[in-house]
Amino acid sequence: MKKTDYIFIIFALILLIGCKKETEEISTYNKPVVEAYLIPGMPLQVKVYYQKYLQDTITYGYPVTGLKPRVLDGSGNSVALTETNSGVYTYSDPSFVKASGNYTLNFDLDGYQISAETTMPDKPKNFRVSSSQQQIPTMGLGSSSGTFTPVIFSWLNPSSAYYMISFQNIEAYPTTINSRVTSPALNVEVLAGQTSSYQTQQANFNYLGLHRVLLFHINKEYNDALKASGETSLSLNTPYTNVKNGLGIFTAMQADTLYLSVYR
Amino acid sequence: MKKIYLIFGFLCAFAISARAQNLLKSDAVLNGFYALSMDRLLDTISAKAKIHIVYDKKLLQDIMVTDHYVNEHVKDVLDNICKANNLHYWVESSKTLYVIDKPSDLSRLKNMPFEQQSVKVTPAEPQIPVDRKQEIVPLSDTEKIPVAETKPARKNFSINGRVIDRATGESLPGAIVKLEYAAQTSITNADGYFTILQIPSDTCRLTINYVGYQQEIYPLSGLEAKTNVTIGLFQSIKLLNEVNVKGKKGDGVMNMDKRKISTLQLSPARLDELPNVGERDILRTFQLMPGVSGSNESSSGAYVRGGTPDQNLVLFDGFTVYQVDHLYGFFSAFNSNAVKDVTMYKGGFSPKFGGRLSSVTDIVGKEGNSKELNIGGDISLLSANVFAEKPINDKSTFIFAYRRSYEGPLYNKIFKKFNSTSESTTPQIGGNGQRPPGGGFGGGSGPTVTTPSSAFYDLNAKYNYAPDDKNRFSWSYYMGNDNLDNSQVITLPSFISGGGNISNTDKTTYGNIGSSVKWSRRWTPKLYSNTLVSYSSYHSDRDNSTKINITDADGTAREIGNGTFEKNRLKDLSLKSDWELQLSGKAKLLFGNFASAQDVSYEYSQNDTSKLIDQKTQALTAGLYGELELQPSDKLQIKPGLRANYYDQTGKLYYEPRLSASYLLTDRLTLKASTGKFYQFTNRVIREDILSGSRDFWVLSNGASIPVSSAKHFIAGFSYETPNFLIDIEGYYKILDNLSEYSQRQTGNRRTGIALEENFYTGSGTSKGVEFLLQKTRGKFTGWLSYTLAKATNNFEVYGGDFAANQDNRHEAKVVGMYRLGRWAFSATWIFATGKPYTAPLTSYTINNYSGTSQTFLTVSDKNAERLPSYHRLDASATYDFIKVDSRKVGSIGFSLFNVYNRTNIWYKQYSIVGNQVITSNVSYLGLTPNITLSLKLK
Repeated sequence: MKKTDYIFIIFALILLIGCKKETEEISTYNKPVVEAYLIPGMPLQVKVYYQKYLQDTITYGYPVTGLKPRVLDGSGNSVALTETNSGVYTYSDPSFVKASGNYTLNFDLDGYQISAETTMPDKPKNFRVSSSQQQIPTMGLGSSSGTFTPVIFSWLNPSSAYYMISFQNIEAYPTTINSRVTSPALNVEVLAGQTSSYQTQQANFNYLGLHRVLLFHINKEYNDALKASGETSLSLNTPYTNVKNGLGIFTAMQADTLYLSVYR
Repeated sequence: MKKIYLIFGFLCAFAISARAQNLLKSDAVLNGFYALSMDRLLDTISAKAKIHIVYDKKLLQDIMVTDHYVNEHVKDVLDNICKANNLHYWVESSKTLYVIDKPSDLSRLKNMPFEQQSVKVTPAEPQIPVDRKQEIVPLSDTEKIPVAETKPARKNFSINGRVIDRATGESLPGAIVKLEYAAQTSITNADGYFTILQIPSDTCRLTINYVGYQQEIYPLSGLEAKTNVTIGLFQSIKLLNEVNVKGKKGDGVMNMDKRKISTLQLSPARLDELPNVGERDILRTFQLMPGVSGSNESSSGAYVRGGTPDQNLVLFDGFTVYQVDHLYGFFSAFNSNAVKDVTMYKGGFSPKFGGRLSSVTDIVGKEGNSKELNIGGDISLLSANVFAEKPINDKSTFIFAYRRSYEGPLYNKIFKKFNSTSESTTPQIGGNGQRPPGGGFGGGSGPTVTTPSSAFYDLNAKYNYAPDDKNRFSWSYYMGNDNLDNSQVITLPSFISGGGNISNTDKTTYGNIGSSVKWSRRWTPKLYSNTLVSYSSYHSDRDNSTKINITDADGTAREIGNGTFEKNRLKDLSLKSDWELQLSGKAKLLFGNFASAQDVSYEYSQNDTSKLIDQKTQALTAGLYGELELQPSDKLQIKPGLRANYYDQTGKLYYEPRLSASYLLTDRLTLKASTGKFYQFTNRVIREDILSGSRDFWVLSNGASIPVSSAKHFIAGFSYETPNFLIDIEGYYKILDNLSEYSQRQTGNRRTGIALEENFYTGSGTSKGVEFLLQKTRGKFTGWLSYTLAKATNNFEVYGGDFAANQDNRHEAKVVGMYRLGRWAFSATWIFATGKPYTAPLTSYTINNYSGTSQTFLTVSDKNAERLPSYHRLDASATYDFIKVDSRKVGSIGFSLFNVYNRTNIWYKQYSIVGNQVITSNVSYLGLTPNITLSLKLK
């Protein structure tokens, strides 16, 4: 055998091995579902679920337990997360997630490496509101007050970044606006898109009283991963994920806060 | 039985006395002294007056007629000789006449074998002729009666002419005029004109064939020096037994010219014999042919050879129609009463057409009856349809047609297909969007719900003016509109807040207005031009909003409203000029130029105030083309061509070379092939979610996010024709580049506010297939078998490479049969198609968003990896002509059954999450749907 033949065989073998590695992609059914929102100054929490069968009636998939996830920040610090609850992995030091930088999640599952990466966006700038009070008109029965006049939130968005607004009722004993609806959600979240202002709508509020309004500067990945998917075979699309070999979302976001009093 | 004969006899006798005299229209006269047998005289009259006279030769050959006529009208001659011999005549059409002894002779004559019937032969000359020139009195200014002679009077000459419908005077475009026993063939142009050069001798005859019309044989002798002829054709008479004449073209509803590749021609006159869902549908009829997908019930648009409907150029009298269907796609937007001729080019089309990747549907509207007033109409379970056509003076005609749907059972059935499901998904006012309107108001008298009407209508009008032999002007107008309203007004009982109402608007309106002014001129017998200015405007609006009007106790009215509004406008102003120059007997040059300015806007706004999308694009397309029609030998025909476009959005020139050829291998076997490059600058966006918003809108290529798409076609095939059958096999391969998929996804909902995302994806595709057609073209039973084996693949990086295109159908088979029995016409069509590909969910998962609201997502299979079950459907119809005094029926009733065996064909699958489970439900197409159509017309 000539030398070149050996080189050829070695080369072919490398190619073969190389090819094999590439095709070793996790099947859709085995991909774990990740849910993690990184907020500066908050403890880091990563939830990992299994997917559900279409016939399953449970709300969330079964938790994936016994993982050893690590998160690496941009400056080379790598921390190990501990399982504080089934499928919930935490790193409790709130100073780990900072106001800027990259974060990478890594863990192994059934021999596959699952990873995700995110960058902390800037804090929103110049977040303002046209009024600190939001009046809700009376619906239906009996006496009336005026029409719903929206309150306008605005912020600077020269780079057409993505934003999300979370309306959170912070009353100890909140009163529902519509008595016919039993225990609606306290928090209402709106994907504002790439805009620089938002007009409130009556449907943004389920309760009366003081609300914390958080304007989050989010990454596009959050926007893409949480938008509704299609409902028919004509519109189905693979939901977006930024998790390699997985599903779900691992993303950083940063907020500014205003308060709004909602009254009737 | 006797009774029936009696009744029939009475009816006939009544008809003879009442109708026959009125129907014989001929200005021909007899001159001279005649002494001959009656059958010879009838033959003579037949030839002179161009009437087809049917009689029993045995009965008449012994009757002698001796008379001297001086400018005697043939009608009077007939009257006299019949009266003298105690005979009657019965005019079946204005040009077919039966001479009978007793009423029962009529059916006997009709059923008599052709050979035994009298046919016009050489007419007898009068024993003492008067001036021969006077003797031949024209039917009209241009119609000349040819009289056969034996010696050639002229040699090597050319002839120009026009082919028209003899009864209405409509010009017939696309008719095939052939010189018998020679190679010269000409196809009439848009105004029915043709030219044949280098005719060796005037003993030759022309044969003229046109879909749905009887073949005409036209002797060229006796034309004196005239080279300008008008040839009138008769519509196919269904009542007469079909006779096989060698070389006669079939008279089916759909025809193919064996020398034209990938071309289908439809005769709307015969359309009513095919089964229909509510409306005679010219575009749907093409779906019965190979290569045009027939399994898309929700689209009248054509999926041609793996292409999408927006890749099919639809022209109506020269202007582009952007909205080709009504009622969410179930019915085509063209009223068959106003359409004269439809030609579909399935691929490899002439450089005269451009701007689309896949195919061309060229619709020519009727010009209007130039001989007499005609009024007619149809009424079906879906719509009512009226038309009127009239000669205004001897130079101009007018036609008007209007069609409108009404909310009958059929309309509602289809309307609900689109709206029953949307009701539950549309968030309703009050509560959390879970409550259907009207619920929850409880107690005493409930709220009343009213829904407004919705309908579609269309209108056609055309005015034709031919000031002289050389110029023709026409103005054509089309307007079609859909007003689909699923709004609801809920009136609150007065004890709630003093009354008021909640109006939930869900209104989609769309339509197209188009108009063209055309000037055709025959500059010289060899040069013809057609110049057209046209305007087309497409609009689509969607209003999905809620308004609450409440009048409170103290009488103050308030209004609360929110919702989304969509608006799409497309305006297209075009100018084009097409020229034809007959260079020699073997070469013809087609050339022309075109320019069009398009203005497209699309707006998506919320609450009337904030515009989420506001796009405006203007584009100018201009260019020229040339095509040479060469016939280097009797057998070979070759057409090279080039089309050049300039598109100002990209500032580039686009060249489209085209080539098609055909070769007559034997008398029966023709080989054909074509190839070409095609560009498309305007794209229609189909919304992913058909239940939200207007389903589609038009955008213009901008060279960046929406590139100019292109296609290459390679087509080859052959056709084999026997007297009764036609076999046509074609294979195609198409390469598509820069295909755009534009998707728009709404995020959020009305509760939390809406954001819109636009995604532009670019990819490529291939489409290949083989089409087989076996058509029985003649006889009582006609129809065809068609089979298409095809594959359409798209390649979009965003979907991970190759995947089956949405419109991909591996196998598609269609069987169409039509049978005539007396006044009945029966037909049945059966369609089988492989299921369409779709994307299926595999698993689900749920995560919380940041604010703690859980959201469930579906993981999906590879793009279009799954297949729906096969599609198949049988339709059947029966048409009875209850009034028929003419070769054309004037009254008929049609019964039609759609989906006879009530097959559940799946349209798409719907996934809903109920109690965390993913429930799949099938949304199916129409089940068994009957329809009745009543048609009446004056002529």
